[in-house]
Amino acid sequence: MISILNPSSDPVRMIRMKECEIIIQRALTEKRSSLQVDEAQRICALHKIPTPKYGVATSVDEALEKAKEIGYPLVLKIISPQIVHKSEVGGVIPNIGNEKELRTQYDKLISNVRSKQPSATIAGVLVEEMIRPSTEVIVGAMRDDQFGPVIMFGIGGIFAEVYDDVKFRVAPIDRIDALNMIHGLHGSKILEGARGQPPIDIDSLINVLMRVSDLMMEHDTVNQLDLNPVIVYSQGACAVDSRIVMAGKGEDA
Amino acid sequence: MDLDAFFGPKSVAVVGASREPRKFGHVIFKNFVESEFKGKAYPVNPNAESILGFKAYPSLEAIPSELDLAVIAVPAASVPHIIDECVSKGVKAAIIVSGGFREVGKKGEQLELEIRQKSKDSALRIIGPNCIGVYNPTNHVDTLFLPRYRLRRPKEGPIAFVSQSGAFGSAVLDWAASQDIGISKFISIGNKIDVDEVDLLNYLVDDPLTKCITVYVESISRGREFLKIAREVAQNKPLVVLKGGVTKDGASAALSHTGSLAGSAKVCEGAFEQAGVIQAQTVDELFDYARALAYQPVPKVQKDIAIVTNGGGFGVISTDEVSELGLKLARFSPETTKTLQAKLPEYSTVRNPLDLVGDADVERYRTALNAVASDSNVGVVLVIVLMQTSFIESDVVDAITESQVTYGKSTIVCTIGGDFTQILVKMLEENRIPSYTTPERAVNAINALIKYAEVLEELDKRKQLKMD
Repeated sequence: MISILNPSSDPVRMIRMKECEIIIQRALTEKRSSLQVDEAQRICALHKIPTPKYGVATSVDEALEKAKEIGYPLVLKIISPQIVHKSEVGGVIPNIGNEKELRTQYDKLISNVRSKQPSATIAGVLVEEMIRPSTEVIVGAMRDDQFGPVIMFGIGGIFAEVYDDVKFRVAPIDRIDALNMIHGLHGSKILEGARGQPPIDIDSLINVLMRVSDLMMEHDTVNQLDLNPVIVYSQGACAVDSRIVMAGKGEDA
Repeated sequence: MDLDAFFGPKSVAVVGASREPRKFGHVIFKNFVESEFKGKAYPVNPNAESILGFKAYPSLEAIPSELDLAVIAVPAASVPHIIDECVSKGVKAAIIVSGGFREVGKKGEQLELEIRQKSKDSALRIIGPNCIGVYNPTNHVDTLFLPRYRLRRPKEGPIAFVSQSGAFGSAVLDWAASQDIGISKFISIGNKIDVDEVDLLNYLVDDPLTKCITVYVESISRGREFLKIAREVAQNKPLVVLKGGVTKDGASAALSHTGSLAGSAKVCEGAFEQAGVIQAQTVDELFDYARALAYQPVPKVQKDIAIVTNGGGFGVISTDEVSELGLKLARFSPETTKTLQAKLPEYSTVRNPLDLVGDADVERYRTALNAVASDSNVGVVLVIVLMQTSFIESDVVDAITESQVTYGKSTIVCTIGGDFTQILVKMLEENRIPSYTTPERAVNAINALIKYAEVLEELDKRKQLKMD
């Protein structure tokens, strides 16, 4: 596997790699094979992959504090090492518009999860900025038996697997590879601006793709990665949900 | 380069040469002594005095001269010992034709590992095991154990063919020979314990006789190196790959969307696109693409297509296919239109596709082709010529060839028919104008030319990017 050569020649990269490795190693020591939602957010942030503002709370009061910093509307997401698909256990509650709603919904979130997946340990609640909707794409990565680290780009959202409109490239990728992935989709016209919609910010999308490529090259402990959806605007992009899975089996495998 | 001994050995030993005509060892030895192979060939068989009139030797040691190549056709269990002999004799290259290795189970796998280690510890290069070896028409190297009366050998030509499957490889060679398609080199790599597709690409990229490389592979041993060398190859000559065994396994754990979306077919497709590999999806496409890419120049600046036909129906289907593949028909310049209007009969409307009508003779084709090929809006010329009418003579081949040579446009022919047509098809092939039996195959081949043109343009762009 080709790793990034000579990280010591780039001190910024070195620091970033160290911090990411600490997060990943802690999860592995705790026998978890995927990162918690807040950990995944942190890794994204370290790689300058734009994510919504967030805070971690372990009580309603903490949540309210974080809400004051982040602002409304908010989404609440359950943080649990055992929960893979949060939505399916009522572990995601969006559209929280004020303090009163936050109190009610925080409790609802906990009780949803307790009833639908009682064995799950609740490590906390992610209090996250709710992002304005726009075109949704999926950015992913995995390790292929033949080609090693591979980056994926496609039309995203919850129907990503239905559309199956995806392109792959082998990491490390350059700008031309990223552009080819974007323009290679059947749905590329949507990204170029269709039906009166403005074109999306291709540059920010290219950056996300290249940063995911860097991530995969820097950490061979990361086995699979999903950013779905990445919401793309006419200016900027935001990885609303991120999932990072490591190699090897953990409790939640 | 250290693979030279496979393609141009000055001396060859066939280990397991046999007196029995049906045995592999017999056929292989016969290939060397009954062809124009200029080197020395020695049969090795401890149980025979002579084979086909040549003195047989009990071992490699006993052979009184240096050996470049050993072709080994003895049971798997005996092979490790033979390899030891090769190493001590200083043989440069060995082809293990024998089966009974990894493909039969654990015991065979053990034998393979033994042999692989011997190769690693020495300078000996090995092709195989479980393969049919090498065919090089230029130096008359032929290790194929399929008798010549059953498998016709193709003549020399610009297309190299590397196959992971021996049976597939041999069938394609036979077919190529029947179509008068020339091959520069053929290699069957079998279980690839040493020489693999990466090594052969490294070799073939520098082979001046090879203008297009085709590969049939099921498992790529060194994926990342393959992509690296593929990109280097693409700068020099087109590489067409047919990948077998790409059924979407999707079994990759549903731990992520990416995992479940990543079937090996899609990943491979992306990797090949990235490396500038032209991917064939079917057996037909492998050589359909290779012929177009080996014989014709890529369309450089202009990629739009002109269709000239004497059969309206095929013209229509071609147009549909052009649109289906996202390609473009050329818009003739005013000069071209004027010329055609003046010179063609009035019942032939001047448009693209240009229907010369069923009574088109060679003169009409010549006029149309020269007008169209000289048009700067045209990059590719698709000539559809149905040869069943009495108006088409063999000099239509000259008319087509002349327009290609004079104006340098990528030229593809679509024609279908029996004996008479086949004569002209072979003449076109001699002139390096590929013809296809259906509009779909013809337009598909044009697409491969255009794709390769785009690969070259992108390689240029990347060079620019690196320099900035």
